[in-house]
Amino acid sequence: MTERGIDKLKAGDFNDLSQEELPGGWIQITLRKRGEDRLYRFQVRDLYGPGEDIRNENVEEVH
Amino acid sequence: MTDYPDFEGQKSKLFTAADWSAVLATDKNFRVIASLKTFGQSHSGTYNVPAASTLYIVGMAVGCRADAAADADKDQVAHGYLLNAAVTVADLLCNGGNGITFPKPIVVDGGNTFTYGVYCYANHSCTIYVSCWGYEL
Repeated sequence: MTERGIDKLKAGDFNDLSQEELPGGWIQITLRKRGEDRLYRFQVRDLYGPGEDIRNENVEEVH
Repeated sequence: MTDYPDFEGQKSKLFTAADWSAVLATDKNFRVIASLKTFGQSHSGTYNVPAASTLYIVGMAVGCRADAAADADKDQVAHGYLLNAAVTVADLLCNGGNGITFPKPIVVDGGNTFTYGVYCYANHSCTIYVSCWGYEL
């Protein structure tokens, strides 16, 4: 089962994190871990908060 | 007489304690970007360090550029900052861009929140950036 980007973020299981602000309080997060040929992208609102909301999750293979 | 490791053919290598920690650790690189920011507006990122880990931040950079070509030759002032569990531990200002490395890492204990953010202090619409990097043990 493919891991979710949000789970890797909270576990600290990544090396690179890039975040971009989006309208409406959303942020676009991209994670990469060395040794894995994939990028984990997702959008989140109220990260770590009581109203945390995730959308547009995507795992992209990179070579 | 002390027996030293066999260094022939690069089979062995000596590390300082700090360098070995970096080899064992998970490198961490954080970056934030936000567009269409004007004077006083900001954006930040947060990372809750896992309870069993410790995050070491060794440097940061901040950047600011105009969103419109007509403003490109003006001052592009931004203020980057780092928070360790809600305490400001680093400030870095720039006119365009700036970066520093810390002679001693900023240490964020497990369970604490690490925040990296940037304010725009230009009088026109800008895209602002902050990045920081280190390792986690």
